[in-house]
This record gives sequence, structure tokens and C-alpha cells, in this order.
Amino acid sequence: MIVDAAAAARARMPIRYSAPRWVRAYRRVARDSFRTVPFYRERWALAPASRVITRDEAQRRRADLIPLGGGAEETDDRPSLRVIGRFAVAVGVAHRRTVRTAALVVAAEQFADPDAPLSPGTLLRDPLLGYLGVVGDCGFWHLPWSEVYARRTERGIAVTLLQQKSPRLVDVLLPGDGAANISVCVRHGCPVLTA
Amino acid sequence: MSISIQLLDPRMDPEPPDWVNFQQRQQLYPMWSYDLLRIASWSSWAPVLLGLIRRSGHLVGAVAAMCWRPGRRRAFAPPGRFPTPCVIDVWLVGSSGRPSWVFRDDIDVTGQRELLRAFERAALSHLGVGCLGVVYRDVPITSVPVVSGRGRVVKPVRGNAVAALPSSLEDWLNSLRRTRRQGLRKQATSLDADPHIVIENPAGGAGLDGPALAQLLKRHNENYAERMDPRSPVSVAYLEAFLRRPEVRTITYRDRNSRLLAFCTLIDHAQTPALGWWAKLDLDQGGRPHLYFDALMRHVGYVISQGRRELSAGRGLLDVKATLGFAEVPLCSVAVPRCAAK
Repeated sequence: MIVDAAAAARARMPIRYSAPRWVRAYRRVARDSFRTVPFYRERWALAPASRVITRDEAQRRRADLIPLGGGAEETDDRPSLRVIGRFAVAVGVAHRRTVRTAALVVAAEQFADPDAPLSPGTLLRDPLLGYLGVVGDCGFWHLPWSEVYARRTERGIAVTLLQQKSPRLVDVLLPGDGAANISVCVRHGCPVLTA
Repeated sequence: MSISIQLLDPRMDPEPPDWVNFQQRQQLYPMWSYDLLRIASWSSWAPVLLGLIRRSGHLVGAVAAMCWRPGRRRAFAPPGRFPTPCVIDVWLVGSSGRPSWVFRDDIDVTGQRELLRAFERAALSHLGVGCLGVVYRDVPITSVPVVSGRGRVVKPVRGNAVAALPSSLEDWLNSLRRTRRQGLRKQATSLDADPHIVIENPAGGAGLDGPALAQLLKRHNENYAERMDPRSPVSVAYLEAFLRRPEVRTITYRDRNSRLLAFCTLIDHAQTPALGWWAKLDLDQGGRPHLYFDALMRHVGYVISQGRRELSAGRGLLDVKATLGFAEVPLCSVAVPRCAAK
């Protein structure tokens, strides 16, 4: 599994997946968010027990997800997914790159759905968080780990966008019943979402 | 009598045991509640420094200040630390037209002066050489001698609007100019009859949409912000906690689609109730004109019904408030450079 080298460099990650570096990148973003983003400042300082947020809450508090230094309030549909494996996929108008695989896009609600199509190249997309995964030839949802961090919490899978500066999205819960998990794909050696 | 100054960072320090008693005895506004100070401190780029002044071990006064760093703000202060370099700004969020210090009633001007000097020395020493000085905001003319002195800059600023209220709303209306009186009555009638506007006055802030109110307030304040205003926007957490206080009353105006058009808060204080935040949607974004007058009239009606005889309305729109029976109480700001704080 290969990721876009430029994206990996921006996230200060190696080209090959490294779990400790992935966690460090998340901690860096979380630390910076607490330091600069009003929403996380008040949430984590005043109610440290409820660290994760729902997508509805993120939508409602969108204005407070902008760092003090300024930034966009709306997410652009930027290429948050550039997992390139056997099924080369590059998404995003900003980079004007061709999607080489005719990708089927499914909503984030469906990633834990056993009936959801899992044909290789299928993309997982959330209106707020952007592109979150692609089905590899192994049949698992692969995370674009240089851009998306995911962790399992008591309330489900929480996702953090590692490179999006504004609006800052940290520990946003994915829909689902909480049964999903994060593991490492034995074939590709990178993080995957399992239902 | 020995003077001791306790400097607290409400983010990290626990509430002192004698604080609630002092707060109740002095009938302080809700902004002085330790919980609100803590929320304000965490959610502002300028953390709060609370100075408690004790004489022979007894709490006799308090000073609330925020410490801000000059220049553009890109980050909040680290937990447990204050920004460097910084200015001690003796000003409390939501406190317009009143100084942010309070003393026991038996402390005279000379005593207050001595105690505030002690606070200045302690605070400057606590924050170190990176602290550039102290600024006192919204100081009434009568209190200027408490903080003025050699090397200190006193500058008159916009005053605070205060009205002496009669015993009934009708009397208050009759005391106004005829055109203003007729306009207020007509508008109240038309708003009550307007099916497109919903006016609510929920008790204890129940059902208020904190993020929507905070967003409206932020946009409204941006239109009127003074240059180099170091104040942080009011955070959602603070606003929600403030509106939940039992002594705070909020009037909201919504359209039929539940879109917030305006809101106005009132602090129902036993001696001098005070109008708090006011914010409205701009007319070009679908807002409605003259809602301020309606909100003010409703709050005046409530204050009179509670038997209060005075209302403070803050520092803005003094010419408009003059037509509503409010008189200006002159205020000053006093800047104390580090070298003058002795």
C-alpha cells in the first residue's frame, strides 16, 4: 500500500505506515487544537470526560471549529483520500487528478453495513469529514492514514483529520453501533476499518 | 493590620472557601461566580486573574482582571500559565459600565487606594517582568482617585447609561418624549400581534440555543468592535452557563422558521439591575428594525414590577438611551505602566 508522498510529508509521516507515528500525528493535532481552536478548548477543559463529538455537534458548532488565527468555515471537498494500491484512486477537484478507478462511493453510514457493496475501489465518504476509506483488494476499508486518524472509543469509531486546518475536526464519531474496530491489514500492513 | 493578596488562576485553583460568602454579602453580579470565572478563563485567549485582598485574614476586596498579550492572538494561554508579555486588564467579561473591583462597604477611598496598590504590586511581581502594566476599565469619575496618581494615564471614555425608574411602566412611558412614547407603544402592539415573530422569555435560559446566540453576539459585536479591543468573543460555554443563572433573564426574538433575530439579557440584581448582552441580525440578512426598543421596554417593565428603582444599560448607544430616560454616568480608563505601579 502506497500513499501520496506529498500528503505523508505534510503530516510528517513516513511513506510506509507506522503505528507510533500515526498516533503521534494525532496527538500533535489534538494538542494544537486545544491550544488554538475555541470549541476543543472549552470542551476538553470544561468537560474532559466527553472527548469525542458527534457529527451533528460539529455541524452546529462549525464556527467554533475555526482556529483563532482564522480559516475556512466550510470544508472544501479536498482530496482527503489518496490511497493508491492496486486500485489506484485519487480523489479531489483541487488536485485535478484523474480517478483511475471507476469508484463507487458509499455514505459513511454504510461502512458497518454487512450489505454495503465492498467491491475493491469503493470509496467511503462523509459529507462533513470527506473521503475516509477505500476498499482494497483484500476486501477491507483502508484508511488514508496520512490524512485520517481513527481510533476506537466507547461510543464508536472517532475520526480525526490530520491535515485539515479549518474547520478542525478531531475525534468526530462515525455513525454505527459501536461494533466497528480498527486493525491492521495483514496483506497491506496499514490500518483498516472492520465492521 | 496586615494586608495579604491571594492571586488565583480560576482555571487551576479551587474556589476559596470564603468566596461565596463574600459574593453574597456584597451582592455581586453573577459574572463574579467562580464557575463563570473558570469558564471565562478557559475559553478566552486572555485568562482571568482573580485577586483576593485580605486584611488581618478577612476578605475585604476582590479584583478580577484578564491578562492579554499584545498583538494578534493565535493561541490560548497554556494551562496554568499567563501569556508573556501581557497586560493586566482589570475588566470582567459581561461587565459593562462597572469597575471590576469590589470592596467591603466599610473600606473608604483611601483604604481602597492602598489595597489596590497592594494588588498591583503583587500581580506585577507574580507575572514577572513580562507584565507591562495594569489597565483599569470603566472607572466611574468618583472612583478615579482610587487608581490615579503619578505616572498614570487617565482617559475619559464613553459613559454608562443609568435610569432612575418610577413605580410603574406607564409612568416611565409618560416621562418620555411624545414621539418616543407613541413609537414604543405602537411597536409593542404590532410585535405582539405579528404572527411572523415569536417573542420568548424563558426562565433560567431553558431551551435557548447557546451556539446560535453566541454566533449572533459575535457577529453583532464585530460590527461595533473598537480598534485594538483585546477582549475575546464570548464563548458558547460561557454564554450558556451565564444564561442558566437564575438571576439572568433573556428575551429572544425569532421568526417563524425559528431563526434567531435578536436577543437581550437582563441581570436581575437586587439594587441595580443591568442590561447585559444585546445582539441582532442585520436588516440586510433578514433582521427586523427597532427590536432593541421593544426588548428594553419589556425589561424596564419587568424591573419596575420587581420594585427596583434603577436600571443600568451599559455603554453603547448613549444618544438613543437618552431618549429613553437614561442619563450618562461618566467613566474613565486608567493605564498604569509598570514603572508607575509602586
